[in-house]
Amino acid sequence: MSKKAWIWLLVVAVIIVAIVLIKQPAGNDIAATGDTVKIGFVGPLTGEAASYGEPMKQGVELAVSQINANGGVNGKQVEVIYEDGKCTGKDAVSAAQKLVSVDKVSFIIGAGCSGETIAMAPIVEAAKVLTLSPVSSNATISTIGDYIFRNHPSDNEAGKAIADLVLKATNNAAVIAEQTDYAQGIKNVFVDKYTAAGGTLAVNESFTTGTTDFRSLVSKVKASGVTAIFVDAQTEASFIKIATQMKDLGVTAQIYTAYLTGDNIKKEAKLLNGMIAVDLPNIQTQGKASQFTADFKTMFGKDANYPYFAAAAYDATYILTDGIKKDGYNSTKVKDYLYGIKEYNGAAGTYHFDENGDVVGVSLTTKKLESGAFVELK
Amino acid sequence: MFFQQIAANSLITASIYGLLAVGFNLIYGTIRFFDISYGAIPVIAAYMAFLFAKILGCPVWVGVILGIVIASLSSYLIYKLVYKQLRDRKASKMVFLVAALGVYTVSISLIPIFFTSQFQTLSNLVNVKTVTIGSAILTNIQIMTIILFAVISIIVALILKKTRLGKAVRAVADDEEVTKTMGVNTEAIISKVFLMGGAIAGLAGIMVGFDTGMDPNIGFGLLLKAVIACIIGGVGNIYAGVLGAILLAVIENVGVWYFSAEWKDLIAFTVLIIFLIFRPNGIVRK
Repeated sequence: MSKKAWIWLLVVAVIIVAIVLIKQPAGNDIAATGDTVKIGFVGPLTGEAASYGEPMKQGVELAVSQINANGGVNGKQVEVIYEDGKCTGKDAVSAAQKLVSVDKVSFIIGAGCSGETIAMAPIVEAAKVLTLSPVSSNATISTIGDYIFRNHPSDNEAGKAIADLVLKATNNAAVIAEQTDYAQGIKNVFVDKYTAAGGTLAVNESFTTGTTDFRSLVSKVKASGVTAIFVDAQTEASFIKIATQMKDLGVTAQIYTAYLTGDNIKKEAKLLNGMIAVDLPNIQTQGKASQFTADFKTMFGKDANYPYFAAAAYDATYILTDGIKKDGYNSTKVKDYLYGIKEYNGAAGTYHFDENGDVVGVSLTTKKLESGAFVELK
Repeated sequence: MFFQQIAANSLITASIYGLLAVGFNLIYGTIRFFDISYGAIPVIAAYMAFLFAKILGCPVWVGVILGIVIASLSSYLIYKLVYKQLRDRKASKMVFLVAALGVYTVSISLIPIFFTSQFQTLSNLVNVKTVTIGSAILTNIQIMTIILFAVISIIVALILKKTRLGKAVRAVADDEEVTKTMGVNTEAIISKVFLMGGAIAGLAGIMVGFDTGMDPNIGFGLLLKAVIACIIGGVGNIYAGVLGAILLAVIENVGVWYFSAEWKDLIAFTVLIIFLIFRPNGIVRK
């Protein structure tokens, strides 16, 4: 080999060694300590949906630090293995496969995006891995598997709530939805309810994730002359892009959406002022919830972006570890424990699970963005 | 009435595709391979402008210029460090393609390390105003993009036609070996082409950052559209690339108008396939 080739080989070797060294510690710890209680985590930690994965992860971290400080679970420390599902089915499947076959976990907190949960469902179901999602809302997840639970309400409720809101305003509206499991799921519920109640949709279209140019779609909305539009985006990024181009092209229709009430949205208060969102309940300020809010602020120095996601992930960690405390590291027994919970008094509210593993007791709210803050509409 | 708006939308889309198509055609014309890494250049430029103008607080024009300069240098360095080495080894087209894919992946993976992979925008650095022309509404950024596209296309065309450098570039494009034996320093010519191509792609990336915003993955989609524009126009021909970009943009926007937005990419790729089958050399034949 020439001298240059050797140099290149050396550079490549150094990079590989560096990557291995950076990655290694986490992997080593897991291998070295066989006497921890291992729980997997799948959620969107990078990409546009990271604003959902971050509070999820923080909620889990907070719960784990508390549980471990109080002696862990049956004398063992809890260890969470975080995997990035990137809000895509493909990455969630690899993450779940790794957690199931390499780390051999029997419990997973996650996933975040509905597309992640739907894609990894067959894997966790076949491996009898008990999965509890704090964020996934797609209606079909209800019946996707016996081992799959969630403490986020199904989009059957949010879709209907938006349809009711829009109906109250007008019976001729538009909907533009992202092509993801979550956004299409809620769109289907919305369209069914809205048209069943006599509403017509002048524009009912979808766009692929990553689209940046919405001008002709927005022109179409403008030409239709609707006064209300359901902007059904998976992420804040798509939502803001559409709203910006709507404003540029002079579309003045009232914007409705679901759940998108995080920091990035509030930052665009001037652009988005007046938007109405069907959202999760506010995190209560009494009992366990107020303790959660205070502890969260102490640990991370600020309130959670999407507080419900953080609280639900925090609860999920406690619910699973409570089950493990009671029934051991056995997903089937803990699954029955979850079905048997009468009322769980957690940070996200007081709730239990129905026969599909769906949450019961969490009711949605309607919020309007007014001068930089979301105000609840009664 | 909405015809004018769709025409304006098409023109905006065409400007971005067109800028990239011009740059891509320049590079393809001289080294004759599908340089996927060209898709990373707009992203690098947009993030550099973001770094200087937004994070470090330099004036906007400084950020834009530094973004373009760094994009240009990145393009040059990619050539010197990777493609030049492969050319010296007389590597096959396949090796070039794989290497380009590797360069693209590495460049795009480096960006989230410094800037996260969150969606970012440059638009709040400038005062975005809307302008009504006929019944079409455009923003000042979009008008700027269209003007830059026209100006850059004309400048590149003039350089190729009138200058010594242009003659040399065309000679290299025709036959590099013969040009070399005539005493032309083809290496220097190709380096200049990469510098120029990088600067044009950088400009396109920054305009996208100002207009719709960016995340680390926007480059590949833009490059694909630019390549489709080149193919339906005529690969390796600057004017044909411009024509292809306009045609593609019109087809896409009219498609969204008459059919549905989710079919936008489907329409673009269907047009590509039709051209590949029936008119593989593009609209403009040599």
